[in-house]
Amino acid sequence: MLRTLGALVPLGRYRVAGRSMTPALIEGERVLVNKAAYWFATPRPDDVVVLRDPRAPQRLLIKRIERAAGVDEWLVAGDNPDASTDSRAFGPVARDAIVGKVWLRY
Amino acid sequence: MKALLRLIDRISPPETVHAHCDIPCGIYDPHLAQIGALTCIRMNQLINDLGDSPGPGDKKKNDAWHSSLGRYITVKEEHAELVKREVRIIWGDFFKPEHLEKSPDLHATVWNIMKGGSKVRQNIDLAAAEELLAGVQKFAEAFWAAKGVKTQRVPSQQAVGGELVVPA
Repeated sequence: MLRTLGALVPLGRYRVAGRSMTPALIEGERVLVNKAAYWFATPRPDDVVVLRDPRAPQRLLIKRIERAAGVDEWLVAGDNPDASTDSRAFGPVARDAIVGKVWLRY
Repeated sequence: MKALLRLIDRISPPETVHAHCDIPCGIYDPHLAQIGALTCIRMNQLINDLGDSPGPGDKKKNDAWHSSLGRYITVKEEHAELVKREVRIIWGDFFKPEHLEKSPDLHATVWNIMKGGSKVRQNIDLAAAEELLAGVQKFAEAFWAAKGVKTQRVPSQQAVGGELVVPA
């Protein structure tokens, strides 16, 4: 029921696993993501985004936009580079792989 | 708002987003830090053994002396920094709060290593390098204790002398 209702609202609730976004986001923290953020705008450097892993699309990642890498492609990075797999490993991320922008922590 | 979101989470759990390193290799070892500290000791020994500068009279000898001194200093700089880096990674990524019960002075030990590493870089000071090694040995023992592994101190078997902390 909630899932059905939720599908109508462009918001997503996510729980952070892992330490690549430390200290901005700590393991276990929850975030509300605005899935409409990039309907009429493009991702900007420093946005924290949820994205589909380019190598395994069912798997969701949370990273920070580093910079644009050409048209409709972005480089993403973890805040804690020693514990992050990001664009250094999987290259730029396409626009349609970005699920939304982190709006708030709760 | 936040309370409401938490309430919704109870009914329907949130999806997981990964902020992982794909290489959660879990491989940590304080060996490299100890080798770095031993290298700093060795460089101080070599600098001390170099004796006085031969002076500008004999250009070839003088250049050779300065070249050696420069190389020893460079290696000392690099290895003191290596010690700091290796210790920082293990301290930040491996150690968990519960490990502090076994090693309550861990943070102080790391702090001393950070300060000691800088001191080794700043000066030609054999005693400072030996203190750095002592700090890293203590850190290595705390690391293995956190993993429940017994350790022993064994001679390095290198020209520098000194001891290494290794799993027993």
